[in-house]
Amino acid sequence: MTGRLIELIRRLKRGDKNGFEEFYRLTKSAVWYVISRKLFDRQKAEDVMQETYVKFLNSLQKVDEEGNPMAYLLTIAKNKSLDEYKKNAKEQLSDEMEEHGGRADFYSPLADSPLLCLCKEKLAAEEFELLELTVVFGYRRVEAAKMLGKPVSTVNRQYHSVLKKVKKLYKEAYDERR
Amino acid sequence: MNAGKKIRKELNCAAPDLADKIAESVNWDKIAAENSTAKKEKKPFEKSFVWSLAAACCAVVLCLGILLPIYLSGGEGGGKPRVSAYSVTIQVNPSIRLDFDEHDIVTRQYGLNEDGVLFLHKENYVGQTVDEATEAVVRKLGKHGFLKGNAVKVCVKDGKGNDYDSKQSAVAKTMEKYLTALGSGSVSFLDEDEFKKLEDDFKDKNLGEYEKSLIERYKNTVLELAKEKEATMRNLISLVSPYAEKDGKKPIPNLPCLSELTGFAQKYGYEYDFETDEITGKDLYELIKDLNKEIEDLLEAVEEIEDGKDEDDFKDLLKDLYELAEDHLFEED
Repeated sequence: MTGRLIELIRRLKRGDKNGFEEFYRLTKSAVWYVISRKLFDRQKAEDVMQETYVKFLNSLQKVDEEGNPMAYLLTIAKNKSLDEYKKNAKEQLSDEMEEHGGRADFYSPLADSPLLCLCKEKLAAEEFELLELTVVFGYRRVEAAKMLGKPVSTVNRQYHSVLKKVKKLYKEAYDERR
Repeated sequence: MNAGKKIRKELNCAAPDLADKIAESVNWDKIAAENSTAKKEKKPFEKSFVWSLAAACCAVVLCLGILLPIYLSGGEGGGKPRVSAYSVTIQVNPSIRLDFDEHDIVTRQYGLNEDGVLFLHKENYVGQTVDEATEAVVRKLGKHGFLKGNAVKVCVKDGKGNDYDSKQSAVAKTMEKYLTALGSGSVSFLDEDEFKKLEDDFKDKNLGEYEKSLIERYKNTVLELAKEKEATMRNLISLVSPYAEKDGKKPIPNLPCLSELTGFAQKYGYEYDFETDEITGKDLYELIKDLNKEIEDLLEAVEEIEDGKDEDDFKDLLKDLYELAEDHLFEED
């Protein structure tokens, strides 16, 4: 996917608006995930989503075509959602507590992603973190290993183990919803 | 559909569709202006590295071939097939073709023979300008020794199959600039018969055939290597088993299979959880467990590949092969 993103970024840099739809389609899930796990109000999350992409497009000259453009996009998303979160922290926390009966660790947007929600519940924290990095954000395992400060061989083994667990959780997630 | 894809599908459905809204709220002309002024630093042409090989002065024949309006399926670069403004066919064996739009931007790339497919493997010129793509191709041709004693032939035609003189001259000039910097020969043009032969061979073969044969070759190689690794691991398990002890805390002096252990680690980039100069029975016990797990994972990855025979899944198959090779077979840098 990184190759395709780079092709699209080259088009965007030339002001080719038509490349944006595909770029958005390829990146929206990771960006939405970063933003919506921080912001509890869907409308605010959508606003931040829009601001994220606008900022990205207005700073395309900073995008390194030799690297991973997703990393830059996700950094913008993370910073913007954190800023918004801090602005509204008190308000959001009490809303969330009310909605979830006082539990602040389950976030409602994951209700749209039952399998991911179940993974967050059932996997160990470091397993879920690895799942996020590789599956949600699309980092290669070599990159994830560097970010986690672990040997690549360890990350590879953990990755396969995590995917096996996710396969089993899939049945659970979708059988329960029937 | 694998587990990762299932999660991504969920997230895709959850994410809002704001593409139009976002696209309308930015100034695309401003973006284009800002990015056209941003200068990209280019590495100087590495004369000695590349051109010492090409010093046997090959005449670089430039023939710019404009793509006939044939709708082709597949090929590198993705996107829907469409008529291009012109295309550049480069033949030095490998043979490749680059399609360009009216703004001189690469829209697609094709390998016209098996070596051409290999040449383009992992390369992505789509989105580059004709200058950028020409320079990149020349660099790679030189780097891999394709220019040594060979004539590079390039051909340009317009969408109707006629000679596109102005474009031909422009590309000839570009190619000559890079070749001159590298101390190579002159530029000349592919004749009509040679161009027709390339095109005919390409059409007959069907675009996807080279890619498929490449993937098939790669698949067989990777599976061979996987079997080799499995055998090595099983051998290692049998060698260390006599010394493995669940609670063995004392270092084992003069372990006979030490060279096999270090050899395995070196070859596959395997990191042990112990120091090889102080191995205990417990270390070996744990190692056997890890190796058995590794064998299980490896066989599962191999099974996925052997099961993936559907023609439409060639791209997925290639991805699985890369992952198998990356995860299990090659040492990471």
